[in-house]
Amino acid sequence: MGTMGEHGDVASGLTLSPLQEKALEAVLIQLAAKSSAGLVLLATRTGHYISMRGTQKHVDGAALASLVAADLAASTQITALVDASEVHTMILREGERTTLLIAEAGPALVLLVVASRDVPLGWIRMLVQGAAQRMAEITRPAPGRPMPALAAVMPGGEFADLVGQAIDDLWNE
Amino acid sequence: MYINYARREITVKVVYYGPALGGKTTNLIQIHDHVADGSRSELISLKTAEDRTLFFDFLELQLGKIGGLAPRAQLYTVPGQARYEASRRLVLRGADGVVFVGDSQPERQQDNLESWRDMARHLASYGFEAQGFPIIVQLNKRDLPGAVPLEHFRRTLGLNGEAPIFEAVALDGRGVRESLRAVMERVVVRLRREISASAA
Ligand SMILES: Nc1nc2c(ncn2[C@@H]2O[C@H](COP(=O)(O)OP(=O)(O)O)[C@@H](O)[C@H]2O)c(=O)[nH]1
Ligand SMILES: [Mg+2]
Repeated sequence: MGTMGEHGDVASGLTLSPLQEKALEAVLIQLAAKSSAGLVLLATRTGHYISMRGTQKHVDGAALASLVAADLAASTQITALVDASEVHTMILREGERTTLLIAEAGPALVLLVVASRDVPLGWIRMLVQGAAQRMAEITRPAPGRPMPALAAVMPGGEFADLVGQAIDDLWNE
Repeated sequence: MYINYARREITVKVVYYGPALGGKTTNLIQIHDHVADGSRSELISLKTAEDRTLFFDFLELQLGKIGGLAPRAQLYTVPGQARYEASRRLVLRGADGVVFVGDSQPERQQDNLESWRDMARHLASYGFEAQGFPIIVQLNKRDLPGAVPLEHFRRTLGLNGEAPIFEAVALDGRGVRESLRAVMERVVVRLRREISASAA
């Protein structure tokens, strides 16, 4: 029951149920395999990392997710300033060795695909479009939210203290 | 905010906002330097050749396991220079909390006020009222001779007497952890309240 808005509140942040996560993961794995991508990454439109697949190792997913979301946000604003009626859903970067595609996957998600130039662009584009569409469907808002489960695992009034304590514990002088 | 039930992950977004050169990036550098590799991401900086923030800085902290949950904090800074207004608004999108970093230098008080108003306007455009939204105010560069008195700064921003102001010398880390801790506590309190409300 994913929902997404521009606000930071629970109702409009993105919430993934275990079922949704599984379904998204399946789409991501399939996309990575079919496109022979070195890297496919899924993030929220506000830059939260969700998942990553591909042959490329040692990538900082959190950092990458923030950049991918920012790139899409910037491009979307550029479009709005230049031609408000135009709708771009993909950003393409063609390098000498790799093709990089960033695509919207519904209002909540953004997808990054990095593939070799040997893989035909038309093929990647088609795969990304298909994957993006399925991901958008998976996270389409539905009535009823799975909040009670989370409320149950969330520590009571002291949760804020515990988080504060965790920050102190992380700190090395 | 992003919640992943299967992994029990809650990721929140905190934005460091404030006038140009107030010390926002320095806050993130200090946090990066005081937290071990395994508990944070790389520090990402989209900056100009002159080391000025162009779009944002980014750092993610992993807070470990807390009561079966794995909270994460994503920290962003905005570019303070006036011409990057559109970028600031983008960075603020989806924020769960803000640390406003003010500058203690007397000649920067007008910039503090303009940035504060700019922030309130952007938050309002996303449907937030400054009231109730987790905002922590940090007054940085307390080490400088001629730093304005706390009360002067409070009046400049129009803050009431109870609102805490965190004094900082971000350059040597003073007040950085305290500000981060305070904003995270507020974000979590608000999160809990909303989750309880939506569960009821
Ligand atoms: N004296 C002093 N200088 C500081 C302090 N914090 C940051 N600075 C300096 O102020 C300048 C701007 O800092 P920066 O973090 O880049 O500001 P930003 O534009 O808000 O990101 C840099 O030269 C910093 O070294 C402080 O607490 N005291
Ligand atoms: Mg900066």
